[in-house]
Amino acid sequence: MIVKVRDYIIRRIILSIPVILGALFITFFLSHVIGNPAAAYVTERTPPEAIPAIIHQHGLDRPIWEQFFFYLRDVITGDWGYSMAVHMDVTAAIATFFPATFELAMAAMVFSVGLGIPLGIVSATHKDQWIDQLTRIIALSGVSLPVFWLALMLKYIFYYKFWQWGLPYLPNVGRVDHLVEILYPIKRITGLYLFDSLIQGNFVFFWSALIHLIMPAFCLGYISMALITRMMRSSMLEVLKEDYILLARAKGLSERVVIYRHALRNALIPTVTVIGLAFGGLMTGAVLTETIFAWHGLGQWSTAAILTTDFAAINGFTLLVAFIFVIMNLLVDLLYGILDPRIRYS
Amino acid sequence: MTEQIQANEEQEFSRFELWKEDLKPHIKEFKYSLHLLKQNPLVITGIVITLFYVFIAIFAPWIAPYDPELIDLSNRNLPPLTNGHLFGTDNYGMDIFSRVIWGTRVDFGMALIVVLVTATFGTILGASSGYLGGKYDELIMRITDIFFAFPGLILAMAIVTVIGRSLQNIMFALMFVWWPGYTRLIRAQALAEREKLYVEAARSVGASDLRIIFKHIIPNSIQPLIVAATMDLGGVLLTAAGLSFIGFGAEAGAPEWGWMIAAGQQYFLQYPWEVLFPGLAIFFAVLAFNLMGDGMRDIMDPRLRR
Repeated sequence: MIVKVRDYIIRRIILSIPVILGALFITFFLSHVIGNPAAAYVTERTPPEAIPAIIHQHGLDRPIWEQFFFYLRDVITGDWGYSMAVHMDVTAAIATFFPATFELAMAAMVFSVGLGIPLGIVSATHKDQWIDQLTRIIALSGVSLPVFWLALMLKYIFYYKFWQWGLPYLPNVGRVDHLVEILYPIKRITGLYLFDSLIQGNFVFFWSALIHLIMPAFCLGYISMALITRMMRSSMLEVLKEDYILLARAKGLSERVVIYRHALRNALIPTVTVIGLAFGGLMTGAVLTETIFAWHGLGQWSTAAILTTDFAAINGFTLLVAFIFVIMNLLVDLLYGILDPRIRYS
Repeated sequence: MTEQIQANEEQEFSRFELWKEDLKPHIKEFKYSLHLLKQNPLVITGIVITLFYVFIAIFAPWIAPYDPELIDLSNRNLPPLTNGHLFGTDNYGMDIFSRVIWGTRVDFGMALIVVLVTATFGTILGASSGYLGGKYDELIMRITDIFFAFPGLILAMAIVTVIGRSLQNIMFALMFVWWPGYTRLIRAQALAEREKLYVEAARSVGASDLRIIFKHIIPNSIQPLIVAATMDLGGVLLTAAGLSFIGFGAEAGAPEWGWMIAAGQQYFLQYPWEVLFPGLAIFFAVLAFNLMGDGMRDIMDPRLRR
């Protein structure tokens, strides 16, 4: 049994290697075949006479197929080029901006899973009643709303209008209040503001970071919440038709036990996949959401890079997202294998 | 001579009869689908909204009261319902109502072209991949795997950065990233179809692979693709508008919904209508596609009928 699980994991990891190579090939194709690869390694302070040396160092004077190996070497050794938009190396930029995006994505995930799964269960057990219709509307609007527009509208109401009406309003932009940042500074440990401020016992900072997180996380999580709710509902309905549920009911078990002990575990399996896939949506949404909320993360960095045609940054960001995506899919598949023993044996 | 003509005529006639016989179950099926459609108010809503948008897109020049790119600096940032501007004007004094109307053409056009091209390409590739199998299938599947390693918007961003910013390039980039989903979908269907007896029969009478793929495999595996493509119209529209919103879009001034929101966001706290109306236009368009797709799945999938 344990051997089987290990084999499954190893096989699954090996299968994702060609995908990573393929992703590298696509970014290579975009940057080296269509674009201008030397631009990625030039900084503002590079003297013009140093450019031939840069071209030689990265193998750009070699045949195109040899260049791919130089590209692989550079990616593996962490030389991802220089981002003009933020005046630092791409890898340094990723290290700086990743925690902000991670914190936002995690908050969005907690929100969408925490609300999506119960909503899905409730609408399945109350099929065609008003609560089911309500979740249907929430879910449909979730996949139909442009996230950038939703963000602006929420800002208009919960920041501007609430402020006009003298109600407690949510902050407009940023990760934390400027004044709080100056008066109650924290040391950067992980770069996750909530975590850092909490372990340093800085509750003023924590509170400020928390209220700054609400609107962006809601916007970002809304779409995934809609997807999770729909998936949970339909898989729950599917499972509730099974014979073992009928048996459980026939045994006289209470509806609570039938749903939460018997049906939920199996209904969760397809939902887990959707949660994994929703992560891709989160990275996409982060690009749009961060721009609107001036959230200094990967998304905002990438849009700033677009406006300054910063190829190195776009390339690095694309590659990073592909890596994260592949790893997430891998984790989902492994979890799937653990949740559903039938998969392991196929 | 006359006898032969008569015989031919009879044969023709009986062929027509046969054809009618052949069609009967289809007509019955179609009638049943219509009946199901009538009982599903959400799909009807979706269809009505879509037709409304299509109507607007076609007749935009006659519906829009102003030139969508007419700059009128004496009438900047007017609120809705002033000086004959139904939705108000933007920062350049351009009429927002006219721009939303013309935007229907631009955004609907983009979504439609991208989905049509990628769905066609994906269908042919997926059906041939599933039917032929072997090394060819393996290769195509590994290529789609690679594309699935990127979220669509982000790969499209990388492509547009390299090939240059414009609405045409947004469309091109979306075509490049959108086909693998359809390929996978049709392949899975084709894998099931090719094992069926009628395909075996077609092969045994000597039908070519090409004929089997186009006459048998594709028509029998296309249903789920139609549902997916309908819903994707909304997805493509959202992604295209999003790309345009971040600044990949057209030259300033073009009546495109995403760009209108981007332009309006600078002063949107004072002039919220500049963001509100193009956003509502996107929302209802995407909602309509989703409603249609959702309902079509219920109608087409016999298992969900009961």
